[in-house]
Amino acid sequence: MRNMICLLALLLVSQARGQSDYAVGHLTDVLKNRADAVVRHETINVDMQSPTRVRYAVKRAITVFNRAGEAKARLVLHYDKSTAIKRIAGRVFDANGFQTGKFSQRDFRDESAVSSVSLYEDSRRKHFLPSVTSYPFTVEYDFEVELKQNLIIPAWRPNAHSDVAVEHSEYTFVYDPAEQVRIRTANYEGAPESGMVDGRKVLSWRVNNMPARRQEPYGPDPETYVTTVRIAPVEFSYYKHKGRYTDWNELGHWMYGALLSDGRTLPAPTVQEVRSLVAEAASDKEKARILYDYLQRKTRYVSVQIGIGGFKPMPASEVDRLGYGDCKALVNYMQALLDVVDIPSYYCVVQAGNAKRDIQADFAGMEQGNHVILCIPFANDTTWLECTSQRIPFGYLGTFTDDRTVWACTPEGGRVLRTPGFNAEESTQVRQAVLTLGADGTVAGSVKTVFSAGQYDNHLEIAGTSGQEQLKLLKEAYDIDHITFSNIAYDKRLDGQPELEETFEVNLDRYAPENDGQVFLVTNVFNRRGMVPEVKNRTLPLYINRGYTDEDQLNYTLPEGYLLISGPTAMELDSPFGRYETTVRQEGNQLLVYRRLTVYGGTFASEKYEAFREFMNRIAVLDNQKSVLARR
Amino acid sequence: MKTCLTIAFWALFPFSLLAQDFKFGSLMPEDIKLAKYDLDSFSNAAVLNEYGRAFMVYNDTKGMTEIMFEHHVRIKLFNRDGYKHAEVVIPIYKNETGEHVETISDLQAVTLNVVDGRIVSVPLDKNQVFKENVSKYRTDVKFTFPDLQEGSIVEYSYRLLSPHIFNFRTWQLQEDIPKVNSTYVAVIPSMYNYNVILRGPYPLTTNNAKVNRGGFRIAGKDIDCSQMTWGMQHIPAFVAEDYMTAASNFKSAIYFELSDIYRLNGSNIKITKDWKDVDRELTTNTDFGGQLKREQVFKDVLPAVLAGTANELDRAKAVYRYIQQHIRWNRYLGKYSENGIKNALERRSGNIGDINLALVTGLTAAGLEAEAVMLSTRDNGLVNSLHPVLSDFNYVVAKVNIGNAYYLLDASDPLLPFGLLPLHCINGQGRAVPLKRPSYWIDLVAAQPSRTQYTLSAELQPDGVLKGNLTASASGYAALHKRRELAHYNTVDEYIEMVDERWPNISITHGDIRGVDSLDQLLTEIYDIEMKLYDETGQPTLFFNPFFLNRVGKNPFNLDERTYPVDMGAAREDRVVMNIRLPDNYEVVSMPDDRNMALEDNGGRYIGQIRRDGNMLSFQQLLSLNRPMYTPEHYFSLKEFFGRIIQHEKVDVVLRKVEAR
Repeated sequence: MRNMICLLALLLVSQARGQSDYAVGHLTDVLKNRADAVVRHETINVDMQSPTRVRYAVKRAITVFNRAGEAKARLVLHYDKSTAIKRIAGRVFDANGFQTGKFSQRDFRDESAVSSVSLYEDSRRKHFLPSVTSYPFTVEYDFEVELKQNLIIPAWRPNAHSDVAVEHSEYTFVYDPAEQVRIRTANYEGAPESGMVDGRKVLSWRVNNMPARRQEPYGPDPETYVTTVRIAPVEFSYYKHKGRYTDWNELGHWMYGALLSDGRTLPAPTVQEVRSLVAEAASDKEKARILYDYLQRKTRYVSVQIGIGGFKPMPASEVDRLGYGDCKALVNYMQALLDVVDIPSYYCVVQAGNAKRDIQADFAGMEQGNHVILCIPFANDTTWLECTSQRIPFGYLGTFTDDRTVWACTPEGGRVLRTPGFNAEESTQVRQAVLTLGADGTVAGSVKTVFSAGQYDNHLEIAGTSGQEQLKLLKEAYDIDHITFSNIAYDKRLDGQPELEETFEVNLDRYAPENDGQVFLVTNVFNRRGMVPEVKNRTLPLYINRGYTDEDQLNYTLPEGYLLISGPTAMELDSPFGRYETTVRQEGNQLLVYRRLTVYGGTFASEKYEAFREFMNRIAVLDNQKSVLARR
Repeated sequence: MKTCLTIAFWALFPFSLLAQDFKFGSLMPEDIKLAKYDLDSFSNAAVLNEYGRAFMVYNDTKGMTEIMFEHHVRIKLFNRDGYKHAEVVIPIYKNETGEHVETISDLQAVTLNVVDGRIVSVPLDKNQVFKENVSKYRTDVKFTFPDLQEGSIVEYSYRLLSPHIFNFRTWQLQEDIPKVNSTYVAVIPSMYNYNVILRGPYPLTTNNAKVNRGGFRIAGKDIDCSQMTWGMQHIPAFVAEDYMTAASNFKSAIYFELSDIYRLNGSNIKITKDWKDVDRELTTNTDFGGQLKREQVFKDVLPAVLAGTANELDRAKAVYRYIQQHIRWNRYLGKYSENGIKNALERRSGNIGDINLALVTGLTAAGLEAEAVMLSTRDNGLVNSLHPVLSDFNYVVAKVNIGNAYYLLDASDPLLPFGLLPLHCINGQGRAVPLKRPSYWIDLVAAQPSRTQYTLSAELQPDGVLKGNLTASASGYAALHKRRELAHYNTVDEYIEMVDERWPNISITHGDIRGVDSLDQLLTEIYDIEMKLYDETGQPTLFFNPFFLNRVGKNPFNLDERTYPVDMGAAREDRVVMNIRLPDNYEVVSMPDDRNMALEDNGGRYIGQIRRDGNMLSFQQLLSLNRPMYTPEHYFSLKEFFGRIIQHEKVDVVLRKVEAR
């Protein structure tokens, strides 16, 4: 009863607040400080009336201070077969909180929401941004969306955007107390307010006065610092499917049964072909390798997302006929191929991207992950396959999906597995250059570079092109004035840890200028680190996503009579973030240059950022150091 | 660039085989033989053959003439990287009311693979054809081909019926993959007269016309048609380059403009008119000339706007400022007023037409001589300079004449200084449309060069720390760029903090910015700075590089060959002036030699000079590019010019410690 009163009081307060004006003068300096925009007042009400009817009502007022803040004030609403927009309305206020305009659904632009990587998706969006000539201004949105499913309930992430302060935001979830729901909160202090209204359970969370957070380089996964509330009903309904889950195992069970198990039949001729392909193969691994090669030859990635929210793969027989599919369809097809030769495999959902992001082991949810890969659980030799690329070698996951937890859907249910990662010592880029310095300052010679493990795919794209296009990409990778390349070759070595070897002849026209009898030569030609920016008052921990080791060895033959009179001779830097060493020395007419940098991956306390920056910038300076040669 | 093809109705060429479509799905031996490097060094796919045919049909039910467009393409995919050219998007358009809808029919598509010496064809699955409603004006028909293999040949054809006879399909001869052959046939009833324009550098290999007796039937009458055939062979792939204006300016294509219609009753409707007719049409159009006459809209506000102005220029600036601050651009382009200038002023929002026509009207109301100037933005390509083609123009700006001078104005960006057009407007010529005089062409140029100047006076301390005062000023586009950046920060202090963080080895101990809101003045940043110039390593000889301010560093021109002009929009001038006091116990051993270089025909200049006077080191650098545009022939001098600047920047000043005596 007490809770109920609290809640009523709260409702009254928020009502009163909604009517009050949005004068900028009411904002505290703390909220205005470094904010492009401030969320003045946000109430999100999620009312789960039934598993097939969830009301998602939002009222949100945002004050925009400058040009950069405008993007944050744009409202974009996606809709599709399971999401209907019920109403949209809004008002615009000036700096003093006086209303200057209003708008409705008519003013929204409607467009298809097919992403650039997809051929087709059955999803659309409406978006709107008010037109205001002077800052600051405030826009207030009031909209309601009806979800015809409750498998994915929109999460609350009030401070997800950088440079936006939050004056007040609250999230309320209303449901039948007979329903079971799982709730996961992150970076939220305390418990939700809880009560009963009309026999329905009401939970609410709120935050007040959160100052704007800056975008900081080398930051960790936002999951570790953004306030988040996720809700997952145990009993759910989704596109005519019903199910129940409390963990990854149960969700995997449902996923396997409802969406995966029925689409793996191949036409008889393909089954025949597969059998004959592997007839000679000695081991299961060999068979898998042959079939992966078959997949890469036969199929390509084309994204078509229709129905079931893009969760159900196209049947294997369709992929077999069309020769294309999206990540789900291609993984499913590969599974079908492996089925023919009785090799079990797991369909694995992953959050792909260069930044490593885990599937949350302790909180199952369908909205996690954006990509699918395949796992073959060979005894003591778990093998992972990326099925959408024609270039990636068998058993190799690049930086797109390495070193993170994934959700594997097996006939026995779901499991959380981890993809393999590469450590700083094995992810190498090793370069050897044999060069000659000409009397006019031109540097010419041959360069060989081997990229391995985590760095295998650095120049994979360049290797895949030819002619003019390849030269253009090489010039981007080796951005040096008047550089020309010839005899370019790439060689892939795929047994063991994959390696890409790049070789070319290079010519750098008048690279080392002469002045007053001295020649200025930046000896480290191909691998110079850039500067890491300063961040004053850093708040986030320092996060280095991936470690690596680069080694560069350059031997120059100098013209007769040149003598090294300056420049670094030997330098070593050691830090918790990595190790660097460089030497430049002359032996007769040879100038021998060595550089080795290892950067360790990992997370460090925020106050370590400054030391990290110093370390990296010191390297940048040393990388650009000139050697001065005197002509005798 | 443009060649006008005469349509020779009277010249009867023998019937050409090229005028016929090639047979669907029936491969030629050379199609199978063609390999990746036969055409160029980099393309992963090529069009083997392409045929298009357009003709008119009279639709009895609708009572209107429509254009039927047939298109047939055969593409070879040399390897996997070429597969993306197997994704086909056919846009179909409807007009605003949704009545005049284009329709697509007879779509067929097939993948042809050579398997064990036999050709296996896999047809397109009709369920795999998608229709995406992109906007209320456009629907895309999209599909891709099944069962692709390296070396697959894909082929498709369709018919598109369009009610838009004014927009006779442009034929794109050149695209981003090479073409072995492309043929286009247009069958046009003699009652329609089109101007046909070939754009691009390549010659046609077929260009003929014949008369098709009675080829078009309307109202029971057979009308003769002219059948024109254009063909081009071995068309190279189009490769875009940096600093280039719209690709459509350069790509080979055939454009059509309807110029006259001869009606059955013998009357003649002139569609493509003379500028005289277009002028009349524009000045009487409610959304153009009509808006320019609405001076009374400004009656109430003008006295306040013009208060305190002494002369015509002041008045023009005041009106410009007023419009800049009172109508916000809604991100729509257009030469016509969308909402009417009155409404735009009230709602404080409008398209380009609303804003700049309001500006012209406001200037006129203030007693100034002002006119509208229509133009085409850089992305939109150049306008036709031979005939008036109104649809080429997608933008309008204002021109105000004061004394013998004139100023081009665009009030859509509140940060633009008076008299400077934004870069997207700097595109060839625009057409000025005065209300009471004939229209005329006017060059669209940036009224001022983009200029920066860095001035440093500082003292170098023995430990290698340089301490001093830096003034950085900017004008033209350089200032606009900085003002736009400043607009992203709430306070000048936040901006300075960003600058400080962005210069990793320079720290700003104090800063100030002047001229943020005075758009017609220099934008000046004044900083007290400290930076580590070298490491004091205890060595008797020290090296430091004086080129640390506004360094060129990398060559913007790194191509081995250049096809298209380098178009930067505005001339540019960057200066650095430094005076550095050296520590007392050091002497200068050597310094970079002076450089003084010029590009031919006064195209640009670089001066790098360093002087020593006692322990004062003075350094001056000037880089100017005097033209907004350079021809491809000038490319290599530009590349060399920047190469030499970069070489100069690598040279250090060498100091030696003098033993205390």
